[in-house]
Amino acid sequence: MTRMTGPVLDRDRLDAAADRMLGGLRIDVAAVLADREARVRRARRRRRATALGVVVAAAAVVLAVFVGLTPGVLAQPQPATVPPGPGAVPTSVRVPPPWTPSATESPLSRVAYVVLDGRPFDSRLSGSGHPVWLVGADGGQYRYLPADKPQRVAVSSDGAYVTWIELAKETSSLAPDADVLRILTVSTGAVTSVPFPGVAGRGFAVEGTAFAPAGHALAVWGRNRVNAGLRTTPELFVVDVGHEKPSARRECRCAAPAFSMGFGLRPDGRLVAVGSLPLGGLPAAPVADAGGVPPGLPPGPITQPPLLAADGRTLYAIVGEQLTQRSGKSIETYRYDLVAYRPAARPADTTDALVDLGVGTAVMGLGVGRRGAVVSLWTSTNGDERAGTGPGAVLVVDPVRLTATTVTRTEDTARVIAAATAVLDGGRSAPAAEHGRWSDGNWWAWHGGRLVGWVGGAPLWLLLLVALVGLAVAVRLAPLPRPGVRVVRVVAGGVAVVAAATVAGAGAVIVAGELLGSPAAGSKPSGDAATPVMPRVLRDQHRKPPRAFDEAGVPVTRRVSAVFDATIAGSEGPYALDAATGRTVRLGDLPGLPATSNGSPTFWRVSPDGRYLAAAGVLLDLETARARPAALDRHVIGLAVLNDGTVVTAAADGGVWVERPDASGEQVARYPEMIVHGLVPGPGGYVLLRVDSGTPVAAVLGVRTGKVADTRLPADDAHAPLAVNSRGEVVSVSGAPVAASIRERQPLMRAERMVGVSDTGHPVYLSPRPDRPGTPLEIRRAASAGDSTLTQLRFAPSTMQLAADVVAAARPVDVDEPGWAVVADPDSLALAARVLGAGVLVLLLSGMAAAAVRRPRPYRRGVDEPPGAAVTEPFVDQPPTSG
Amino acid sequence: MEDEADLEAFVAARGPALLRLAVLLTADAETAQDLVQEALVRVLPRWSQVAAGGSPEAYLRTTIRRAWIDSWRRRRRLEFVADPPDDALPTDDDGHAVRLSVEAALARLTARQRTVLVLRFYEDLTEVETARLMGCSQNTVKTQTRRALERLRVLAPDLVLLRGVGEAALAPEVTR
Repeated sequence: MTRMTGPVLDRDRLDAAADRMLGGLRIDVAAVLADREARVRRARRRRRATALGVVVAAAAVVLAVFVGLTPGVLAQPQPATVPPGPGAVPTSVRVPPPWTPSATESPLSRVAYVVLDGRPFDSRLSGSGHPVWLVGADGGQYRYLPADKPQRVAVSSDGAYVTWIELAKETSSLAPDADVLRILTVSTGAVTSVPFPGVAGRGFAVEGTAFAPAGHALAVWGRNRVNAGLRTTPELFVVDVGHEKPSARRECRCAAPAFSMGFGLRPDGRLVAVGSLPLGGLPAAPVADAGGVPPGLPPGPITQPPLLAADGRTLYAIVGEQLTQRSGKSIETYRYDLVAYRPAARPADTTDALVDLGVGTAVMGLGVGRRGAVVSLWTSTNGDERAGTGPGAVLVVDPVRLTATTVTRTEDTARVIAAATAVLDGGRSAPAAEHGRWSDGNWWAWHGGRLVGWVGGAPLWLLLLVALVGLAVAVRLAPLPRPGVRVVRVVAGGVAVVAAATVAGAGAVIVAGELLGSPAAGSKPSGDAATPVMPRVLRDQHRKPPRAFDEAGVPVTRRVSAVFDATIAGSEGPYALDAATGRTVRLGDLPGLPATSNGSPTFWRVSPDGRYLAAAGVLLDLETARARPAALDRHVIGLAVLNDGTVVTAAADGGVWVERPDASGEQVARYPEMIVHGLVPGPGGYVLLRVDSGTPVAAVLGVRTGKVADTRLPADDAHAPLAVNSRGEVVSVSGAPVAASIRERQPLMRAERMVGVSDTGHPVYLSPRPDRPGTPLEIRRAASAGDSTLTQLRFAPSTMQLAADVVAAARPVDVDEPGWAVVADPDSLALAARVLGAGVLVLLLSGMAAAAVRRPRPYRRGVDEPPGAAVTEPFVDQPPTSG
Repeated sequence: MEDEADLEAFVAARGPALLRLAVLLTADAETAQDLVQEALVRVLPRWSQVAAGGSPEAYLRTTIRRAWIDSWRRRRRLEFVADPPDDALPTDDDGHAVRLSVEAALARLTARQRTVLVLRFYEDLTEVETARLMGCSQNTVKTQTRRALERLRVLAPDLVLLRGVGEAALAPEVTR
C-alpha cells in the first residue's frame, strides 16, 4: 500500500473550485423523492406481472398434472347410442388434429371408414403419433384407434366392430410369441383380445384377415412360427367378433406350402379361398383355381387380394398398369382397372368387364356391397403407399353400369384402408366434421398432456416441487406480509434438506452398486463336482455374473451344464451355468479369449460333458482354463464339440471336417450339392448332421470311426428334432419313429426342441410346456421313469445349448441372489442416477427460492460498509476556502 | 415520512459536500447534481438502515463514486464533457503554456485522470482501492495518476503541493 508523505493536491483550492463550478446549485430533495416514487411504481408493476406469471405457470403445472395423470376423472367414456336408419359417409376425409380423442375415451356409434395417416410413416412429416383413425358413420367424427402399431385393420360391414392385429414381440427365437387379434366394440369403446393357439407352443403369425360380407365373422389366416424367420403350415381361424367372449376356432390346417391371396366368407358362413392355394386342403369350394389368376382376367399385376361379392361367386380384382416411374424418388404411377369376374358353369358366361378407376400410386379394395365394389385410391408424393402426402378418393364401382363413383375425397395424408360396406350401401353422405379448439375440452386436455410431456415426464413430486418453488418466488415477488415469507423460507429450507438427503442417498446407492456390482473373482465351486446341479429357476439377476475364470491356467468353473446368449444384469453376451454351483458365469471376456470382429465370440457350443466350449475360431477347455484357436479358418456354418475336445465343423461348401485334440484336421465327408447345418453331438462319439437340399437327410458321423451313415428324413418337417442312439442310428424324428407316416407321427410329436442326447441315451429338451403355451422356457430331460423339469427359465435367451451328459445327471437346486444385490441392478443404478440429477436440480431450485426470500439484514457499521468507506469515515465537511 | 424528513435534514447539512465531490468527478455542475440525486435515489429505500449505521455520508460518498464510475463506463445515463486530447495544452502567442483556473484545469483532464486524482487525493483511497473501484490494475492507476499530475503541474501548478510529483506519486511511501 502506498501513501503520499503529505497532501499532493491542495484540497482547499479543490473545494473552492468546486463551489465556483456549482455556482450555488443545490440538491432537489423533492425531485429525488419523486424519482424514487416513480421507480417504486415501475418495480411494483414488474413484480406484480412476474408474480402473476409465475403463479399462473405453477398453477398450469399443477393443472396439467391433474389433467394429464388423471384423464379418466374428467371424462368417463360413455357408450354411444346407435341411431336407427342407415349411416352416412363423409364427403371428405382428412387427418384430424392431434387432440382428437381415442375410440375408447369417446366411443362412436358406428364406423364408416378406417383412415391411415401417412405422417407417422414419413420422416419428413411430424404426425400426432396415431397412425390409424376411425371416422364415424353418424356425424363423421374422428377417433384414433387405441393401438400402438396396428396391422391388418378391418371393419365389419355394419361398422360395429374394428379389428386389428398386434404383432408378437420376438424377444427370443427360442420362444416366439403369437400375434394377437384385438377387437374394438365401437359403440362401447371396449377392446378385447383373442389369442391364437400355436402349434407346440410356438407363436402364430397372422398373414391376413377378412370380414364376412355380412355379419360379424372374421377369417384370420397365418402360420406357426418354428423359429425366427421360419414358418410352417398355414392355418385358418374364424372368430365371431360379436360374441361376448370371442375365441378363435381353427377352421383348417392347410397342407399347402404357400398361399398368397386370402380367404373370404360367404353369407352362409362357408369359406371361400382365392389365390394360389391348392384346392385339396380346403373344406369349401374355392372360386379361383390353382393358377392364382382366374381365367379371363387380363394380363397385368393383381395389386390386391380379390374381393368376393356377397353372393360368394362374383370376384373383383384390381389390376394396374404402370405409367411412370421416377427412379430418383421412386414414385411410380399406375392406371388402375377393376375387373369383375363371375365364373359360371359355362365359360361363355364369364365376364371380364373392366372399369377405369383412375391414376394413382396405390389402390386398395375395401369390400363389396350392394352398390358394388368399394375401392380406395390415392396418390403419394413419397412413392410409399403408407407415407407421404397426396389426395385420394373412395370409389364405388357399379359392376352392372360399369361406372366408378367418387363418394369421399381424402386430403393430405389420409388414406382410407377399410370401409363399412353396409354404411356405403345406405347411399347417404354428410359433410365432414369440423374440429374445434377453444370450445373443445379435448383441446385443453391435449395441451395439458403436452405440458406434462414438456416437463419431461418428471415424477409427480418433482412437478409439485417446481410448483412450490414457483409459489415461493411468487411470494417473494408479491408484496406479502412477513409471516408468509417466513413460511416459504422454512418450506424451502425443508425441501433443500430433503433434496440434499436424497442426493446423498442416491450417491451412496451408486457407489455401493459400483462396488458390489462387479465381482472381481469367479465364484468358487461349493458343491460336489461329481454331482452336477442346475438352478431350479434361472432368472435375470441384479449383479453382473462372475467370469468362468479370471486367470488363464487357474480353473474355477470346470464344467457347465448350459451355455446361452442372453442379457443378464443389463449386459448382453454369452453366459453359462456352472455345473458345480448352478450359478451363472460369464464367458464373453475370459482371459486368453481371442476377440472377433464383433467383439467376444458368441454362439457357443458345449461338449456333452460340459468341459469343452467351442465357438467360431476358439476352443475353450474349462478344466485347464485355457483357450486355443480351433475350427480352422473355414466359413463355418455348423459346429459341435465332443467330450474329448474333438471339434466337428460344417463348412459352407458342404464339407464336414473333424479337428482332433492334437490339432490335426481332416475332411470326413462332403455334400457339394447340399447344405449342412444343425450339428448335434450324440452318444457314443457320434455327431448328428442335418443335410438339406430339398430332401432332408440326417447324416450320423462316427467320429471315432470316421464313417458317415445317411438317413433320409420325412420331407414334411425339415426342422424336426432328431434322436440318435449309441450305435449311431437315427431312431426318432420329433419323438416319433423315423419310419412312421406323418399321420402316425402327429400324435407322438413332442412340443419340445431336443437339444442333445446324453451318453446314456436320454435326450434333453428345451421347451415351453406343451399343455401351457406361452409359459416360460424349461429345460427338461427324458428318463426311463418319465420326463422331468430341471430348470425353469424366467427370461428368454436368444440361443441355448445344453451339455447333455451334465443335464442328464444333474439335480435341481435353489440358487438365489442375496437381497442386497438389488443395489447393483443396472436399473437401480440408472434410477439412482436420475434421482441424483433430480435432487441436484431441486437443490438448485430450493437454493434459488431461499435466495429469493432472504430477508435483508440491517446495515451494520464496519461490516457492511462498502470498500473505501472506512478510510473516509472521519470525513468532515470543510467549508470552502477561497483559492 | 420520517425518513423523508431525516433525508431532507441530511441533505441540507451535507448536500454541499456531496455536490463538491460530484462536481470534482464530473467537472460539470448539472451532471454533478444528477449524480448526487441518483445516489440519493439508490440509497433512499435503505435510508433508515444506512442512517442507523451512523455514517450515512460515507455510504453516500461511496455510492456517488460507484454511480459515477458505472455511468462513466456505460456512457449512458449521464452525459459528460468531451474529454480533450491529451496533448491539447493551451499556449499563448509565444507558445508558452498558459495557467488556468483549477476548475478549468480539471475540465482539461480526461475523465479517467480526473477520477483517479479525486479518488486518490481528495477521497484518500489507496491505489488498491482505487484500482478495484475503477475496475483496472494498479499500474493503470499509477500511470493515470502520473500523467494527470504532470498535466496539472502545467495547467494549474498551484494546485499541486508536492514537487517532483510525477515521481513521488509512483514511489512507495510510508503507510499512514
